[in-house]
Amino acid sequence: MTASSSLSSPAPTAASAGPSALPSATAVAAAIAQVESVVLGKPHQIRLAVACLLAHGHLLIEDLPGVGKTTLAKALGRATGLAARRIQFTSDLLPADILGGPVFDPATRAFTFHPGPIFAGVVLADEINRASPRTQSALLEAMEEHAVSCDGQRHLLPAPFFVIATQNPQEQAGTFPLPDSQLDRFLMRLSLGPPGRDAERELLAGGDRQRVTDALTPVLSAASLVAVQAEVLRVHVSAPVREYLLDLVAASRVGSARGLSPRAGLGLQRAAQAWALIAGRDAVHPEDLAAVGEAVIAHRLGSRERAQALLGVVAVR
Amino acid sequence: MLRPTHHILWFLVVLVLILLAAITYQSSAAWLIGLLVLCAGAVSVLHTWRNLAGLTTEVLPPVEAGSGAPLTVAVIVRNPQRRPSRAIELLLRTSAGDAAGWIDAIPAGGSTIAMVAIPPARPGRLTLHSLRFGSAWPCGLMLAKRRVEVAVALDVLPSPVGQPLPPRSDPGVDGREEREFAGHRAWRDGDGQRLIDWKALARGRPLMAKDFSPSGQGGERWFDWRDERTGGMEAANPAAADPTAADPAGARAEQLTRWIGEALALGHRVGLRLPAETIAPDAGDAHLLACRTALARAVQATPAPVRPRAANSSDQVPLPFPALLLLLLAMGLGTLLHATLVPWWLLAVAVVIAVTSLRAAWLGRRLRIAPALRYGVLFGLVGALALSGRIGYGIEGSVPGLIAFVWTKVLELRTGRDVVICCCFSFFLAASTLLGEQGIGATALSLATIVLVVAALAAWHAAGAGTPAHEVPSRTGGNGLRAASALLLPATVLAALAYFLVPLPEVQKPSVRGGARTGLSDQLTPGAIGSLSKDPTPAFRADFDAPAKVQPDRLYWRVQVLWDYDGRTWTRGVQPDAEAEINARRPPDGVPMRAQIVLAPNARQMLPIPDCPLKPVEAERSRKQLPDALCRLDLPPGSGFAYSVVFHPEARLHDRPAGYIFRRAVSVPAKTSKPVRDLAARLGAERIPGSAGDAQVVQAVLEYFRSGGFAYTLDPGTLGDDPMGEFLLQRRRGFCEHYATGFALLMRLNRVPVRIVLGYAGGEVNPYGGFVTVRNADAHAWCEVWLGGEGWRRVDPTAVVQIIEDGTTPPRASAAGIAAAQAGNAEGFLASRWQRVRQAWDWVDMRWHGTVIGWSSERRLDFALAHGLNLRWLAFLGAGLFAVVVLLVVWLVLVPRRHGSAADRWFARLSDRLAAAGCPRLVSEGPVAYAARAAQRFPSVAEPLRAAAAAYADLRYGRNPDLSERLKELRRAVRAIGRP
Repeated sequence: MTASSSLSSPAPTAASAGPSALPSATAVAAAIAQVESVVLGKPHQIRLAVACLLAHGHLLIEDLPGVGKTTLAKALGRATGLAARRIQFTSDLLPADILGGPVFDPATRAFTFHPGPIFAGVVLADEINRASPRTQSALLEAMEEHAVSCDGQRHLLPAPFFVIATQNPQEQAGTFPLPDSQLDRFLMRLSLGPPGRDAERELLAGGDRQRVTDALTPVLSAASLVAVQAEVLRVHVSAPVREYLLDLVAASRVGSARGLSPRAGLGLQRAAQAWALIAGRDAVHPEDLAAVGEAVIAHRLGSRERAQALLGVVAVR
Repeated sequence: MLRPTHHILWFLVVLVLILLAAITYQSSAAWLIGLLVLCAGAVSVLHTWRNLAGLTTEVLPPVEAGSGAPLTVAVIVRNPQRRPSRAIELLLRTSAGDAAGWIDAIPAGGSTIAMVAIPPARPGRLTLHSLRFGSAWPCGLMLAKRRVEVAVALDVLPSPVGQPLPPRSDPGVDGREEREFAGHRAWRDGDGQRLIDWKALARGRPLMAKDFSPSGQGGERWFDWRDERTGGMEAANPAAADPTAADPAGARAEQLTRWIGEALALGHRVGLRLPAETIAPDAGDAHLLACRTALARAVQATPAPVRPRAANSSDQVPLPFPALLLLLLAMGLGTLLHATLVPWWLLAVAVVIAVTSLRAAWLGRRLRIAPALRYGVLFGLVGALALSGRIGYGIEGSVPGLIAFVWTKVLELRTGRDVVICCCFSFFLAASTLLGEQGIGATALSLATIVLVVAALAAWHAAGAGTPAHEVPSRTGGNGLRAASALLLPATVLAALAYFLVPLPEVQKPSVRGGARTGLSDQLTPGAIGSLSKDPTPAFRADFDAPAKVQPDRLYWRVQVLWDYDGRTWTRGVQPDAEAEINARRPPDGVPMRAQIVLAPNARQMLPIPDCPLKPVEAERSRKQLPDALCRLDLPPGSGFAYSVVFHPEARLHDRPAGYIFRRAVSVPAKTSKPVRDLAARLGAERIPGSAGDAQVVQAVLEYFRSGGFAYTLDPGTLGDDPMGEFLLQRRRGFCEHYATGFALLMRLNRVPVRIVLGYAGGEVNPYGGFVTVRNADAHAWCEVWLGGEGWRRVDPTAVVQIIEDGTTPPRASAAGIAAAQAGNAEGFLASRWQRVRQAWDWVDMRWHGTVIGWSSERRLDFALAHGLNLRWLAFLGAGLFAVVVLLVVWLVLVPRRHGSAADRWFARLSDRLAAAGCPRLVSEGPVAYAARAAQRFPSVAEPLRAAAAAYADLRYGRNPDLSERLKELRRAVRAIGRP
């Protein structure tokens, strides 16, 4: 089953998952419902984004302007009770503009660290490919290490730390596209795409998104989110599923230098665990791998077609 | 599919040789080993078949395929069996040639991915026709083959290869005025300085050059398939000279691809004229792809060049060290078992060969020996063996030559056939040690050799020996010993069953007789017993019905009775060769006892019988009861042979033979010397007439031996012309044959009838079985004197000798001997422990000979009769067992294995039914997704479908699922769905 076919049969929500549903799954389902009320007609992408957040990953959204990337980030931050910040990347943006830096405090006559906008739960790095490679790598380094180093001091980022970076695939002039090595650091790449006609009608009728977003009530907190993230790691991965995953990774390396990295395999497993948790299960099914597969694999293999071919040809155990 | 390899002929030939040798030499142990080899071969065929059974494959072609570069096809092979599959060779048939791959092992229930590298293909269509599997694992007797149709076609697009894009016209530095700026491109050697984009360089970007395209033409550029420069380039291109690129059409397409790519990168709109089609000018990546596809089609239309066959460079591959070590160990053990037949220099050559080849394998080199040297070594060894008289008939004459051949073969180990030949002859070496000695120790050593040989075979085949494209093993090899045990354990059970049903066939006239112990001779010559006295091997073992009433180590065992003496040699002389009654009388209070005797393999036909028998010998073989209470077999008991005798130690024989025989009991050689005659007269001087006087002479002669300074020694030296005169009057040193002869001579000179009995006396009582082991060293000679009313009285003159020389074990029959034997029992802690171990081993060996080696068709019949089976029942039983074995094989071979758990089978049943209804499961579909799809198709059973999928997913993927409950749900749901 490829990711596209799973769109037609979305994973069951926690409410319908029966007695095996996990307690944390209910809260996550509530948060997803909150986001769905703002970002209309994109249930699968919202789930993927939440799965990415629960799996300790970072998200790259490649899409045209105006399809709701910022709204998604803000709604996600709001519903999960995390502070959302937005950084608009431009070619003259410097690392210090993101990370923060030492500022002279006349009162104490000393330099103190002034945290930048990256110190937030959900960071929307808008049009990341416009910034210089130096600035990009500063962000990616912080993403990887969950900390910022300044003047020899380490400043830890807040505990659930989730970066949503966006890229516009159409305008390439004067940009610095992320190299492959940097792409690998994003757990998933999504594209939202235009909403369906029904969703768009509802959108037009629904009033200002900003106000709707602000009206969301947080159903999770940073602390409970950390607990859920820990729970994701405990979701059971049975031997057949793990073999299936290994088959996928091995098949991707066939005849191509650009196969999936071990990090990609780890990420795929974790994303599938998060997907299973969202569905209210404590064990990963092969369908979970298929559901998150395209989002996790496609940007690493270079094309969506290769990812779909891979998911279509490797047999489920 | 199974196909016999050519090597199986060697195996069959050696197997027939082993079985024939076992029959010829009447060796049950060799027969047993032969049956084991046969069963191991049969089981290995089964293993070979099961090695590939049930494997499923998936071929993943590469996503992108460019010409000129090797393509890798991944083959995922799954093994649903509960045991690993090993040593599988893959052969992928493609339109670009065959490509081989190799799988060391697929774990049980797991999978592996094999990479098969296809040789670089020319542009065009590449078809993957089929995938073949082959494996000769574990023994190389059979080759299991399977073929899977792949039928996948790939478009191999031409890669950009060749010369750089030539300038269409001289771009010239001054051309700037007429041309308009057409963007940047990577800097190329030769670009003028003024074309360099210095600003970009200053910004830290790579060296770029400005490109100008002629105005007015829209930057269009055309390429033509017939452009002579594409062909003309080949001459200038050194790559074109190498034969792998001898494909003009392919090279042309690759050259055009490079030019088109570079022209597109320069911003041109590129058009392409091909023989069959024309592509309008366009730009962009999609256009490049279209051009490459069109070029591939154009190449496809031209005839493909003949591809030169790749030379086989396998001679460079080193031999796998572990497999070689196992093989050499097996051959070494097989050779050492024949160490007595092999001269030391042959062993030395074998060691040199082993060390040299092992060293080469360890260093990862190939041993390279010129054929002349190899044949020189072989013919040299065989010639030396022939000169030293070690080549001849029988097993002694053939084994040294065989050993020389096998070890020389190691020098040219290259193919799977060489390995199988070495291993098969090692089988023969292992089995042929049992043609003489058949004890359990020898059998265990032979068995160990067999285990090593099978392990070596498995290790070589795990390393790839014997598969078609891998004639030369190149891999490291697997765990041969584990494979050998998996193969030999069932084979041993089968061989035991086969041995039970088919004991060694008996032949009437064994033509050769090898290795068997000589045993007692039929006559008494000087030194005959002395030579046996140093042989500690068991002659026979005896068990008694009433062990409490008998002292087994004080019994005499008669084998032969001798009447005629010619002054040097005692012989039996002419005797009636007819069945004779036993006329024996036991003492009034004596209870008859029964002895069961198991004879060690023996070249003689006379049976040892406890003195004195009361009834004829009871044996399975046809035998003849002779006069003098002797018994002779019609055939030598080549194998261990068992019989029983009723006897009483105090009984006396009373059969007075016919007069012409009886007169010989008092005849003396005419040349008996005067001093001896005088001595006899002196000892018989005071005799009274009648049989009482005879007894008196007996006492007088015994008294002469007791008090006459006679000494017992096993090293009496050689006696001269008058042996008895010298012994009785001068030297007075000797052992049983001297004393028996001297006693008999003195008796006969006094006209007292006496005869010599040859046999055994003494023995060692084994506390573990209560039986007595009599060794060849216990051979003995004594006398029987005819006393009128008493019959034949046994007189053992050796027992009265008083002086035992230093370093001589006293005769068991004497008082000193018994005392020494009893003293020997308590001699030190270690010695007594060692004695216990030896006795336990003796007991095991006795059981081995009694039950296994002694198994024969008569005993099989006895067994059947004892269990109420007559011949017809026996036939039924045999047929039934045969049918069971056949059914077992059919079940193992033909019935498809049921893979996986019960849950897997139930869900597979559901999938089969849905597939039959037109909704098959996709390979990449999980169970829940499949059920959801099927539920859309069959809405009436949507609910049970969902339930079945949920239950199955939980069973297969869940954490500690409630097995029985969920399985019940699954079963219920599958039944509810039925056949949609």
